[in-house]
Amino acid sequence: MGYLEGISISICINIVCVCGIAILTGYMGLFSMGHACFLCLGAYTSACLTKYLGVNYFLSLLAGGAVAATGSVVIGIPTLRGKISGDCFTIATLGFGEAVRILMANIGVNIFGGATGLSGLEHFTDLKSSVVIAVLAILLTRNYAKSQHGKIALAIRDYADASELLGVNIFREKLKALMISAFFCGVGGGMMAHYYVYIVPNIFGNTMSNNLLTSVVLGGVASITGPATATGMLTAMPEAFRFLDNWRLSIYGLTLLIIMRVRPEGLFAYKEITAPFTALSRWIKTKLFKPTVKA
Amino acid sequence: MAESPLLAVKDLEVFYGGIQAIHGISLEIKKGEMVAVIGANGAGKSTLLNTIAGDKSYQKGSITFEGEPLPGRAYQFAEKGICLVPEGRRIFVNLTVYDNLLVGAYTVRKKEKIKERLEEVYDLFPRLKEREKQMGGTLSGGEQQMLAVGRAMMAGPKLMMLDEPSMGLAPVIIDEMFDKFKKINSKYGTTMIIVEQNAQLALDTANRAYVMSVGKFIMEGDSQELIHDPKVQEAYLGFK
Repeated sequence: MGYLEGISISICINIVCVCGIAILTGYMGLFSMGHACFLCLGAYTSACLTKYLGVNYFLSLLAGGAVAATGSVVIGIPTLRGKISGDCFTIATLGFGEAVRILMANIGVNIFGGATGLSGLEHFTDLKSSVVIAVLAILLTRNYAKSQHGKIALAIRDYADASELLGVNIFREKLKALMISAFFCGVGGGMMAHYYVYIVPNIFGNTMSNNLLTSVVLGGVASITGPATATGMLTAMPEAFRFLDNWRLSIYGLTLLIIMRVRPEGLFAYKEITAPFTALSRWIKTKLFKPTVKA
Repeated sequence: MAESPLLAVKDLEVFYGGIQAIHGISLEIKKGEMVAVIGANGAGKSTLLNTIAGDKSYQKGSITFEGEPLPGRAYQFAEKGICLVPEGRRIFVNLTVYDNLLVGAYTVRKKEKIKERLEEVYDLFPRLKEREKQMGGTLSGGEQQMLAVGRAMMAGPKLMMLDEPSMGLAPVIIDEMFDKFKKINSKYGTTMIIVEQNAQLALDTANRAYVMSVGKFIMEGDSQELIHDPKVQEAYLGFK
């Protein structure tokens, strides 16, 4: 597998996860510090399904997403209830993320492999399917944002009290956003497992959660293509500047600092990058509907 | 007068921590009435509305709406038909005018009903129709107030409560707004409670009024009578 192909697959996986977090953080305004645990749940679920039961790869991804979404209910119900602030949710996810990681290292050692991880997975994640899934994730997220759910998410983020007075069940809407985001992360986790063909609980640590959150904050709130582009950049940049050795970490930090200072709401806040898509759809239309005249 | 009241509040007491904001208030509002609550700053007027709307919990007393006790959570109040237009309007600044209105119709299930209500709101406030695609945050103060009222109308409330609707608006707009309130009241039969600092305006608009001071009702009655009451004139209307 080529080096570029590898990076592209990583970018696609990250886009799938970031789409979920864009819904939770960008639209609903909830910050999660432990979303890696949903990747972890998804990765282990789909890895076990394909390894032990020989389930189809794509079905196992969906199952991973479903397990992650179910897991998110456990954290969502106690923390999103009533008038508890978003800070409480953030701190709870931080703890939950660590708890899941440590749990996976300690339970069912002969199934999950404990701290040494689960190895010997098949390499199912190829570039073609990853791109398709990433595009699908973006489209689904766009549908969420354009639908009533997305509008209500923005309303809750603006004024939770006012929307509650209009009859919006804030708890339900927040839980819905959390479950969708966990689902996306679970799918991303499943893809990751079948790309690395080897998973250990430790890769689903704080660093991963923070990287995902950074992409959304950097890419901009209430935007999908913004965070997707940002995660592409953040995944590719350290690779591109590999010759700079450890200096690239400083450059990474500096870039973040500058963007935070200049555009605190993110690069593409409330905006979508639509130009390539309109161009693409126009191209497809002309290709499909233009009568091909043969001489 | 056998008709039971739409809203009945009995011996209500509300605390903020250790501080009592409302000291035993009772009121009854019949269907289709337009009632004003006037009083000075800090009299507890907004607290009263927030309590009725379910945004603030109360410690003693009872509130019944259409003869039934109120539900437990604030979002269920809107389904019952109680809607509060909060102080400071609270427009969703990142949504368009149209989307703001749609959020107001959250409790309405039927698509045709939403369309019908939207027509009603646009009919009443043609300005909102002109600004349909604009972001809520880019509207002027008066337009935002219109949007806040329109948004509340989308839920089709039986009881609409307006908290300081004249706050920060130009006098011309205030008169226009209060005319619209009268129109909503007469056309759709929506019962209204208006809390106002501007006592003259509130008394001119409403049929009945309560005068509130330090968490209690000190006077109540027909608003025309209250306007001519010397005590009210001196304390709230600025006559000497």
